[in-house]
Amino acid sequence: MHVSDEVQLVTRCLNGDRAAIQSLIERFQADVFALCLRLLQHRQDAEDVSQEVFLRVFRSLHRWDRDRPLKPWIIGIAVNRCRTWLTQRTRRPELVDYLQDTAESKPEDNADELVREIQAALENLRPDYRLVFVLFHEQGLAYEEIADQLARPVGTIKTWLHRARLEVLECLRQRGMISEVDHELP
Amino acid sequence: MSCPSCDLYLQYLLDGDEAVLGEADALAHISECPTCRELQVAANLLLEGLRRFPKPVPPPDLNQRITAAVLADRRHRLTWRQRYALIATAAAVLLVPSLNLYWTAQPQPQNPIRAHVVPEFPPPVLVEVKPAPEKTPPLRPQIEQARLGWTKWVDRLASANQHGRLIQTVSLPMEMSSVEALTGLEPLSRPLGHATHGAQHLSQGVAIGSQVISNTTQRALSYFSRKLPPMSAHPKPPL
Repeated sequence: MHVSDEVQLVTRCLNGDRAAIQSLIERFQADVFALCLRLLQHRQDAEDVSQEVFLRVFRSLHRWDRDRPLKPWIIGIAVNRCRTWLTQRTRRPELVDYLQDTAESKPEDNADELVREIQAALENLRPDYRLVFVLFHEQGLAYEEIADQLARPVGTIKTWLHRARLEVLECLRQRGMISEVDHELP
Repeated sequence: MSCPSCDLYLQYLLDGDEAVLGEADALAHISECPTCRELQVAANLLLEGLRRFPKPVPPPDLNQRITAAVLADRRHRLTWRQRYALIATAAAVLLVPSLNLYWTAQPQPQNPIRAHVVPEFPPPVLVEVKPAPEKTPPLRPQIEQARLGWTKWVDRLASANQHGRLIQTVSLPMEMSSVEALTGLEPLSRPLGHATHGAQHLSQGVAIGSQVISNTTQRALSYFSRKLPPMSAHPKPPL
């Protein structure tokens, strides 16, 4: 989506066009929800935070810089909301996402098992490392965009991502995935 | 190539940098170094896993829920904005005459006694006589109308000033003779006594009320000034 299209869409949203509001939510809700779920690791929390994110997006839509793409700006709001939510959640009792656990299907082959192991490794990462890993590998943001969103130098982001990858690789090695899956993958 | 350089190569590989994929030095080092070879296998495995990584799918009704929440929030904020506007307008309507009454009701002596001061003039200086300035062009009709409107407004203010001064004068605990001197009223046959206390309380109430209203108006106006979108948010006119 070009920036000019985004400007047009945002202008319609600011004018109260319901279809435009729905279109904007539909366009970005998958990315926002995926990020929230990865960071919060709880489906219900992810849905609630996604809703909060879009409420804040529409409240401050007039402050969006029209010379920049919309997605990193929305992702930045989502990151901030997830961080706040995580901070608040540490003060509450630990939540267990039973629905998510039961909905998970059993692995059919080694590739699915690999995905499950990577997911488990991600859950054990430090929140900052996990955040950078998800923003880079899943959301497809560049180093500079991540640094901009997290208000950190690019070097710090590279270091965090490097460490996150090493920890995931180490986790895969410890779980015996390297020797098992290596020969079966093309 | 050393192991740290190979590690950097693998990081570029994970970054998706296509330019380093065929780097011969790194591949040669990997074929010789078992540690880096294991790391490369793990990196390839991670890349493969990330390609298969399923993106979480939001529930189908999430879009509807978020849209409903956003629209409800907009309505709610719009309602409050209208309420704030109404309150601010009402406060402004009340504030202007109250402030006028409060400020103009300050005690001002009608005939202030001033010391007779003889001004000291500087010694006369010879000044060259300059030619008279050109006659200024006549005012435009709009400016003339504005001047007339301003004169009427000043007359109204003067009228309000007289009323306010009367209230303030009566409310002040002072000698009746001075009240009569200030207001030009005929002397009273009996002293006012407690009647002046009511007027005094009334003027104090008006002053306190006007202060509260002015604070409310200031807060409302500052809220609106914060909430107003910047100029850049407005759509540009088509060329």
